[in-house]
Amino acid sequence: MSTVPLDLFVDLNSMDETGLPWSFLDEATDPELIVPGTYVIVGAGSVRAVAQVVDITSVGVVHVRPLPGPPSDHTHLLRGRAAS
Amino acid sequence: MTTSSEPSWPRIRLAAIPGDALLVARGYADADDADVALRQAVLFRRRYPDWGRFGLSAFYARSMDELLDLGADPLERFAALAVFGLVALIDAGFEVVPTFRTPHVTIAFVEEPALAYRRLMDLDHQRVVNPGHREERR
Repeated sequence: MSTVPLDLFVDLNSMDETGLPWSFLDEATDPELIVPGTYVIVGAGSVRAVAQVVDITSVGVVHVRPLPGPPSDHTHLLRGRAAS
Repeated sequence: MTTSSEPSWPRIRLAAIPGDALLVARGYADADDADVALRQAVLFRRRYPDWGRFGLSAFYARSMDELLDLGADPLERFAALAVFGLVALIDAGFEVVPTFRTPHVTIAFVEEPALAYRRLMDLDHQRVVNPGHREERR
C-alpha cells in the first residue's frame, strides 16, 4: 500500500494492442510531466509503480512501461521527486 | 513519439480462451478497488467507443501455478488477486473476451459500471495473497 502521489492514473491490470498498460493524458496530475522517455509514478488506488512513458498517441493515449519492484527502488529516475 | 492510427475496437484474438482456462484474475487494489475499476471501465469505453461496452482487464489461468506466474508478472504490483471462475462470470452475464495479448481478457458489460462492479464482486470469488508482490520498504 502506498501514499506516493500519482503522476498518472493507470490501472496496472490494463493492456492494449501494444501489450503495455495505458491511460489518457488528461488522467495525469500534470500533463506536462508526461513526456516520452521520462519516468513517472503511475498506478491507481493504493497501487504504485515507477514507469517509463513510452509514447503518446494522437488521441492522447499514453503507454507506459512499469519497472519491477516498488517505487523506492527507482527513486533516482524521478528527477528529484520522492518515491517513498 | 506520436502514433496516429487509433482503433475504436479492442483487438480480439482469433484463438478462443482455452477450454481448460478455469480462472480469471485481476489485481485487487484493496479498499480503493471499486473506484479504480469504475474509472478504468469508463476509460475503456472512451478508448473503444464503437465496441459499445465497458471493460475491465483481467488474465486467464489454467492452474494455480499459472495464477502465481501472473502474480509475478504482470500483476506483481498488486498485494492481492481477485480470482473468479470463468464459467461463473459468463453465467452471470459478463462477456469474457480474449483481447490483446495472451493471456489477457476483457471482462465486458454494457450496464452502468457501478452496478456491474457490484454484481462482479458479489460473485463467489477468491482473494489470493500475491506472493509475487514486493511491498514498499517502510
